[in-house]
Amino acid sequence: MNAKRREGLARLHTWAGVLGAVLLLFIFWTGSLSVFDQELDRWMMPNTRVATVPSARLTIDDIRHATTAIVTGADQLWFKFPDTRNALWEFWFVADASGWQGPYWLHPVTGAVLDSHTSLGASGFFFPLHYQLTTGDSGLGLRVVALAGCAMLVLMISGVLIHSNLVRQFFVYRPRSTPRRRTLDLHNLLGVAFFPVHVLIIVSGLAVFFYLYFPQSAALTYQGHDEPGTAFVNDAFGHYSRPAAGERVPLSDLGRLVAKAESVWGEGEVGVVHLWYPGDANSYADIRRTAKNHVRMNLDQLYLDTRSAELLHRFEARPVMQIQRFLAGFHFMYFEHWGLRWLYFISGLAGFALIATGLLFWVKSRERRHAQRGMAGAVLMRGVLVGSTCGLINATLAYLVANLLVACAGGTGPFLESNWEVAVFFGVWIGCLTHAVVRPATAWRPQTLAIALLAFSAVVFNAVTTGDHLLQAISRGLSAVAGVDIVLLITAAAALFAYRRRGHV
Amino acid sequence: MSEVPGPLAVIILNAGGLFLLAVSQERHWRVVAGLAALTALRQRGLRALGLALLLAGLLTGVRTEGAGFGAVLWLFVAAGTVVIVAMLLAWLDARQRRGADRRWPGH
Repeated sequence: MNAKRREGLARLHTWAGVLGAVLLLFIFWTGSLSVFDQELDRWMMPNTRVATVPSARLTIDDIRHATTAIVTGADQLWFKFPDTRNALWEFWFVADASGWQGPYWLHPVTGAVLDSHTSLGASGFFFPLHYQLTTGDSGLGLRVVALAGCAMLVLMISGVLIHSNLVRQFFVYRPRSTPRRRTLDLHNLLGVAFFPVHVLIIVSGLAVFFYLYFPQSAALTYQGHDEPGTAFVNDAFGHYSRPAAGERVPLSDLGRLVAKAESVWGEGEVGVVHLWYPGDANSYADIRRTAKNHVRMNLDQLYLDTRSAELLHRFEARPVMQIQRFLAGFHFMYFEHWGLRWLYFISGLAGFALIATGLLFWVKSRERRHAQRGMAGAVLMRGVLVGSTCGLINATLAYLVANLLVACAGGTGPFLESNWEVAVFFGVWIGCLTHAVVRPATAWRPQTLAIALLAFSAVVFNAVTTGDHLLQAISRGLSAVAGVDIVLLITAAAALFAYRRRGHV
Repeated sequence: MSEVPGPLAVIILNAGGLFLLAVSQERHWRVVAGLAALTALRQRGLRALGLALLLAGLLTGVRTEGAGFGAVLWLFVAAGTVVIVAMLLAWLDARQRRGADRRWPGH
């Protein structure tokens, strides 16, 4: 590649990185947390902590009977089977025009409806933040995140192209060199080593909502239909429906419907049972296959008449959608594979470190020149870097601590637990960003110390407020709680080590 | 889901393969082998063996975890072991330099 082209790509890489760094750091961080969102949910919602006892689990009919304590006469009932990540039954229902109500969590052995929680946990906060930021269902956040994903692809490809000695420096890391050199070495090493992984994560993330980015393509393809968008979604993702008969009949056993589905897919392959018009003569069950045994997030569906168990409709994704489902499954990670899950988590943190080291290198390369010319760019970006890394970590830890403290205090209405947690998260993040921008040269150390203190406090507060200290969690088989505690302790130790080294960013 | 040995075998094979590929480069060869020459034959041999171990890691992953999980696992493990190999070589280089400093202080 000639020098001029390389210089142009370097400029593109630099400015795309500087402008997109904060958003990309946020997306990678919340994505990494979402890898263990269900485990964090168990940590944040103590009432839902249940050790898995698969052999003693209740049947779906026992659970359906138990849900009569929540609702009777609903129009739709939705049951998700327990699995190794979440030992609880998940239940939702539709009873009137107000739409879906839930989730409700039922104990797998006793069927007890566990105390309703008011925390968003991780799956209700970090996961939505990751793919739609704070914009809710408007679609704006989705598109901003998609653009950020495209920018990250541009960054990675341009980064590889401008690398002057890619093969020769593939395994090079010089920790004893100057801070600028070792920062660049680490940035290059992470970028090159994790290049295929990060490219796949981003492409698969874009593939998840492919039908939302360019809806006109579906409209053009299905333009003979009254509702082209709906026709496309039904064709791609499967659909069946029939109206209620309006005739009341006794409720049927769901167990034999599950057995019929398992005779088609195999034992233990049923993931979700969605019951339409329970107690109606036209009631039917929409049964979905579990995604836990494959990377691909299958769309396998069986629609069975609830009285006769007759197969009304069967759907499996066609070849093009199978590819999309593999990509979606690669990104969503609904599968059960603990080794791979931890590797995803590490890869996400590697992406976070990749972006941070890139921004750090930019700051260090320009500090002296900017100071000589009286420019504030490098100083400002140093503060932004500290606030977007240490600040984001502090905000997350403060969210966990707030969850424990606010839950103890109780609260309703505007003082709802979830409102406090969210307020604390953004309040701490804004505070850390402000602190870092005001004191860019020194903010790193106190914020690192804060990480150590908050992480350790979270472990202590969990032990004090719930009784599930680390050893107790291990002995009770609460692997999610123990895992979160261990990661928090490692985080505290690493932050304390970094603080005591007295290094400069 | 498979037992631990499957993924562990993938990690070991990938780490071995990537380490051999790394030391087939002059700068890393010197760290590991000191003054012994990296001949063209040795270099080709190291690279062939390194690639063979990587391929063995992929095949092991597919055999023990299935095609989908196996290929994805291999990809993630390869990424992580590149970093581990780089850190190991950096540590070996530092150790070699410290040893040289003790033998020839002031140089």
